Amino acid sequence: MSDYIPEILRVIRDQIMKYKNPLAIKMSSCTDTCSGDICRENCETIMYTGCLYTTMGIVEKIGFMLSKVTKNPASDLSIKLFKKFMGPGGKLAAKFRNKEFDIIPRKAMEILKRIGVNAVCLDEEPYNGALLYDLGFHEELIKYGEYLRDFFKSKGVKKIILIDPHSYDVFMNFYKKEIKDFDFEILNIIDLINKAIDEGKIKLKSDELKTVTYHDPCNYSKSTERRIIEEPRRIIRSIEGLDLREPEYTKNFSECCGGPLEFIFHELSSEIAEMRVNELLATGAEKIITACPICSINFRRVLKKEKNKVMDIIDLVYESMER
Amino acid sequence: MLSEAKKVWKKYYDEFSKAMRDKSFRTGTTRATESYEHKMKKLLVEYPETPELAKEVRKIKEEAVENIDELINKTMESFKRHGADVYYAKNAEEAREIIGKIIGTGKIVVKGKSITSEEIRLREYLIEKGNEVWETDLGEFIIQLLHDRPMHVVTPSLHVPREKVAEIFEKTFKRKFDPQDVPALVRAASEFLRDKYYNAHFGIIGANVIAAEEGAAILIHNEGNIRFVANIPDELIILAGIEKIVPDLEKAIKTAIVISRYASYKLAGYYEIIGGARYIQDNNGEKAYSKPRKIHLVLLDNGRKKMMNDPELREASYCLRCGACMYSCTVFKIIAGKFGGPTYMSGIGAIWTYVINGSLQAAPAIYTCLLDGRCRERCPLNIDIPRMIRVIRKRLAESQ
Ligand code: SF4
Repeated sequence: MSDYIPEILRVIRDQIMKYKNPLAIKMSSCTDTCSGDICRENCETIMYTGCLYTTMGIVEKIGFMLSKVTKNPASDLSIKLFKKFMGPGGKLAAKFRNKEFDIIPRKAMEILKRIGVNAVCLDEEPYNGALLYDLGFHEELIKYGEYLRDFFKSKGVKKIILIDPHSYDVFMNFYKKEIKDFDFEILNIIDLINKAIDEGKIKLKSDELKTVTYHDPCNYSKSTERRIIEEPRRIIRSIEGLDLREPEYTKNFSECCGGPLEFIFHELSSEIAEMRVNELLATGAEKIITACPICSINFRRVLKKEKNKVMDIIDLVYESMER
Repeated sequence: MLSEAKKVWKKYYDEFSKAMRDKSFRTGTTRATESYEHKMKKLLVEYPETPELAKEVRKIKEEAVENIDELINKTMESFKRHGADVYYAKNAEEAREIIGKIIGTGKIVVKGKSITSEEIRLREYLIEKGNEVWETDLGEFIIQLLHDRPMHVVTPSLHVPREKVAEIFEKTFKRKFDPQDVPALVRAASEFLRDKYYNAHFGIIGANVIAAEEGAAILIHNEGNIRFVANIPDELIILAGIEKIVPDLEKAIKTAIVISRYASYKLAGYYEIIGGARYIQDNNGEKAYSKPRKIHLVLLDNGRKKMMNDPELREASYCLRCGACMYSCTVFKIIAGKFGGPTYMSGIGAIWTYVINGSLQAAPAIYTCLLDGRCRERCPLNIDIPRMIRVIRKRLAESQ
């Protein structure tokens, strides 16, 4: 028996398995801001956030203590603190809800309504399981995938609309391949928006914002399966009055936001975020458009007072829709 | 009490954190990685056919690994045919002993840059045995003077900015240097080393590629030092990992072109093809040799076969050590080779560390990888490093 894997990662694993959320927050917290219908049964087409926006929003808020806990995996103090704060039921974490992130799924739902996609939110959402996938907890990941399958089936789900790259990655590249009967149709909101633009269902226009740059999430831009590189750019380019500027390192050579190291080498993660933010700001663009809440919190953290320079693509589309 | 694993993690964390805060370390690393990205961008525009050639080399490496046992035998026979002594070392210890026996003690040894020799800690071992050993590649020479370890396979001292080089040279040569006058720094090192070449008993080099059929080692270098190391001393030792072997010379040359391209050179300064010592014999049987008179080839396994026989990790054994993935790695841009194990750096290095040094040493690097895949995008052979990192994470989790 050896402890090659730092305890912090094992604690996160256990929380996901037990509470269906890395921060142990309640599953109903993940959809309680949904602006659409909340559905309990026979929910055929759902929008599923993987609880990522809610969870990352909280991670940002508790960053001041998390940063001390998650910088040095060899320290015992860290883990004691983490357990204390992130403890059972996520009662403490739940006190740190983040409106700026909670609003994104809400806006995503508004966009779906506008483009004529009928979808509902579930009354509760388990986390998407991506950390189990990325950290190599294979056995648990299989169990978790089976759990998700049964969960969705019990709600009568047939189609799942995803709005973040990590859910998309683990759903497409793992669950669909490795979990028996994970036979839901998986859609990505980026595709749905593109389709709506092509069909003339929405017109997008920017009034005040003139220049943006786009940060490619790694799971979209460097995937070995389907790559989503041009699709978000098409959306941004279709916005009247908006100029898209490419950073020096872009598309399949874009740099990571540092997010994957958030829970293990926190400072290193921030250094990476800072490097990437500087590249993105060197374009002179007013805002950095992201398509992933993990990238968002990492950039916002290093931008500090200027954190509003980061904008989610869902937010951008929402704000650019004709009222 | 800290467990073994905790100690390793702590040391890793402390080391990279120190590097992360070290301005000079960052300056050097940033200069090197930025310059690489710019050169590479231009190069691929100038030579758009390079990726195609790289695809061919991927096939060559696949073929070589598939037939590795046969190719090892062939290589050994071919080198013997040229009069070389050939050895097969199963692990680092065996390799050190073989080379230690060849060299003995009280000798002067000049070395070309070889990460494989770092892997078996050869310089330290030979010095301990009472030899005088000098690295002749400028970057490695700096590493030796600093008692540091390489931070990159092609540019080992990329994390040492010229200002710090000037500093250590001042200490070593006891005179003033202007950090901006890079040629003066280079001159100082080569003047110092010139003397060593002519007095050396042994030269030690690695190999970038080995051609099995003809029995030749190919070396790529930019400083001209390999020529001196290989040709001036009487005896030459070539230490090469078995993964360097490809079937024949044509394939070896193609491989060498791809290695140097992805190391960001249009054309490297020199490409050596070393066959073997030749001699002229007169009627009395007296032989007159070219130099070096004797070549010793030491082929090293040290976990490579295990890697090649592991279907999930085999791809890692195709690695050309061109260094492209390292320069392109986002983590590497901040902490350079502190992301890695005792010898091998960055994502591919984490995988090699896992095979060569084991789970304990590899774990921190295995969890430092972002899995973003930028390395794979840059790798000439499209080696899927993130996939293998996931495989190893899975194995570490299963071993808990
Ligand atoms: S993994 Fe690829 S890019 Fe990295 S050193 Fe090896 S061959 Fe070069």
